[in-house]
Amino acid sequence: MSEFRDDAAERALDAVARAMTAHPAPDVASAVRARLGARRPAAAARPGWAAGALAAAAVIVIAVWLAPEQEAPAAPATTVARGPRPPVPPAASAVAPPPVRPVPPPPVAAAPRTPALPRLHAPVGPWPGDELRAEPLRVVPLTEPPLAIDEIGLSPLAGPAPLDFEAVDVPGRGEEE
Amino acid sequence: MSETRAADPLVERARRGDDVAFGALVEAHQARVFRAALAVLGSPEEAEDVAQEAFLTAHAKLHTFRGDAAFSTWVGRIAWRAALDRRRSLVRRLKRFVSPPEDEWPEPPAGDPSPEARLLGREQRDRTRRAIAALPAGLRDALLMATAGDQPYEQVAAVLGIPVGTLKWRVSEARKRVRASLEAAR
Repeated sequence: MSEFRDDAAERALDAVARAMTAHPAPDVASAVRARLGARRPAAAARPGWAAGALAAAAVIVIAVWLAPEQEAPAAPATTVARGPRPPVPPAASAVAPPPVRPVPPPPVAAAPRTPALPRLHAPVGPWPGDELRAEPLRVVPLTEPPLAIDEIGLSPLAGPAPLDFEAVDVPGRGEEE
Repeated sequence: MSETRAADPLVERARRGDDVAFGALVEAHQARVFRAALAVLGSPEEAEDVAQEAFLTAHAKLHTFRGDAAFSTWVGRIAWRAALDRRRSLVRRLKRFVSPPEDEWPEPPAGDPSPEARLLGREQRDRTRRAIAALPAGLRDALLMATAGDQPYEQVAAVLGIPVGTLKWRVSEARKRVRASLEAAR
């Protein structure tokens, strides 16, 4: 009896699980056909020769773009001497590159003008110290010849004079004693 | 339905660019592919999208089909992987996080349950469905694919990319867990 019950429960479980994926399948085929059909015309509209011409034109345009870069300074010459390059035969393709038209720059919308800041005026009148700057430097001639070193008492050979500590007036020295 | 091998004239014609033949192939296998995607995703709308993508991918890569397996297995595997990718996708997770679906694996529109399911009653059926939905993904996928009934275990295992023994174990384990869950709910 128990086995029978288990069996029934098992089958009921399977039935519920089956029902979870038992939705009627949508018409996937029509959708796939439509999407494949949408891809086809785009490819069929371009015959092979047109695609080839497009590719050749693209190659030529890229070559024109890259041409200035090929004129960059050449690598240092190798030890192998090379003869002059043979002339490059003209391109086999008869497709001329499309004329490059100068593209006008897109119109730039005028930026909103910001209100002008108040202008700062320089102060009127002389700046302090201007009168000193305007006065030329004066050269004062010496009336007497400069003193000799010996007269001052400082001889370069005498060395520094010994310090006289007694002569140094230290504030508060006498008061301590 | 007979297995569609590489020698199948439809496959051969489709390989040569015959879109009519490919359309016939899609018609022949769309139900299986849709069910496989539905088993993974639980949403009929998403499953339909994935089925379409799978057939378009198959069309684009038909030249790589060597015929080692049946065409239905090959395209089923493409759909299976696409569905897994979608289930793991971050966008889908975010969408479900923001607005969780009310009901996954909803009852079929023509909801006439089988005699076995009818025995359970509506409430018990819903409880069983919720218990199956709560299974770990690997076990649930195996159970739903195996019980769909339109493919033998060998073919289901080939679609899932696992050995037949592993598939049988997963189905058995899934059943065990669902029963335990239902027992616990009583």
